[in-house]
Amino acid sequence: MSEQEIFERICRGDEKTLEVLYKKYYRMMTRLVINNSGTEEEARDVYQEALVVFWQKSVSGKLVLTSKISTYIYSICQNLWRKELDRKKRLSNEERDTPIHMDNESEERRLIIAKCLDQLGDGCKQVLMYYYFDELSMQDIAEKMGFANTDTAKTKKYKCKKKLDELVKAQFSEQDFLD
Amino acid sequence: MIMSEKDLERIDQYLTNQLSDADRSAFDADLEANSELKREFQMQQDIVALVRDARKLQLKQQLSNIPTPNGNSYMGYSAAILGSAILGTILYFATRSSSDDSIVQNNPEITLTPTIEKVDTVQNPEVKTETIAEVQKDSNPVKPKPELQPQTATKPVVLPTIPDEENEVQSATSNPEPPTGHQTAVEPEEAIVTNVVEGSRYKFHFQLDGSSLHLYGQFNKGTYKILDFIDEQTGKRATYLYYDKVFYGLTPNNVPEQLQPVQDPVVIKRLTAEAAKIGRD
Repeated sequence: MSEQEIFERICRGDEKTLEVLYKKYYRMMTRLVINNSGTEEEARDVYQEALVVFWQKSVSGKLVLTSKISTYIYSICQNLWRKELDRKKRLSNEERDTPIHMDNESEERRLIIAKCLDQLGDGCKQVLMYYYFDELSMQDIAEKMGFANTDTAKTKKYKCKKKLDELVKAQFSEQDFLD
Repeated sequence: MIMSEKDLERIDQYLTNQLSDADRSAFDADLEANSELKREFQMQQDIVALVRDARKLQLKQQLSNIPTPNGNSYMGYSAAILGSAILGTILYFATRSSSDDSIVQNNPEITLTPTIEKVDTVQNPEVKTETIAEVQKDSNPVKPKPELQPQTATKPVVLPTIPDEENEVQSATSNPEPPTGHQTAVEPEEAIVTNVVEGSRYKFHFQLDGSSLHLYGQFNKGTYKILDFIDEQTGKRATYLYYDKVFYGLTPNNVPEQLQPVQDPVVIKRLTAEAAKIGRD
């Protein structure tokens, strides 16, 4: 598969090609982290994260590739790992100086939303993920989900989002009530 | 306060970057002026962020399930394959079994392809290693010399060049030709399935048709290896056989041809390096 072909397939949302790409550059990308005081696990995580960024940008049509795919992904890995190293450094300084302060409220909020998201059906969740993360068009969502047409996709997205909002709001009013 | 559908739609469009610059600024201004709207917006922002996180996690989990060269799902020769990952190289081992004299169906001992399904079929290399040792011992007494005389090879073998890590063409003597005819239809990821055919009129011949390789003759001097390279840029495939310390080029053909050793020192050097990565003969 040529570079161009890989990129086109990724842009079309072909997850199999993403998997091929993952394997292809696995060593090259993880070595970057491993050779810079990272563990194998950290390396894998950074690489996966980078690949997901590449995926999101490609599939949502935001990426105009001006370099080789590997060069692009490599630079994301570099940035991510640099950030992570900075974070670690800061964290170790903080540990010495001040106790770590957790933002409990927003963390709690996130947990509640995550729980609601899990209560949605798989189909609903998938439609919302395609819409908000992959930023797929209704046409693409219909194709991927096997819906009859874009109108079905639109309706589905609308209903699923509404359901999620309701779940979240119900949780929050319950929360308020308890407080 | 219950948000109007229109407000919710605007929030949604804002969060998915579907507003024009003007509409965006107008929305920002509204946010500052309307605390209810702002509250709802923050909630929606969190919800959308969580949905995105969930998808990110889904993709990452999907990737984690793929056997990687260093992952646990890969057995045995993981490290060997790593170096080749950049090329998209596929390497296989195959061993011969001495039990059948006519046609021996060889299961590639390790099949590394970008598809998960294939990897799942990998046999346990530990077990296999023992088998090889035995086979080698057993077959040692019958060791017919392959009818191969590298020195007197009459026609030069046309070899595809092996791409190096940066995919620059090595200074090889021949220009690689992409596979022609029906072979172009072969997906590069497809693993080569090797059959050893003994007792035929062909001695030390091969036929490579798509991803099906037939080796004719006695291949009982230990294990042989198939080195399969795919140039990530061009998708060109180059396949080699390594047997009894010699590399042979496997160019797709329609009729069995005699195996001809690779003679280009640059190619040999590169192949030796690749083969060494596998870690054993």
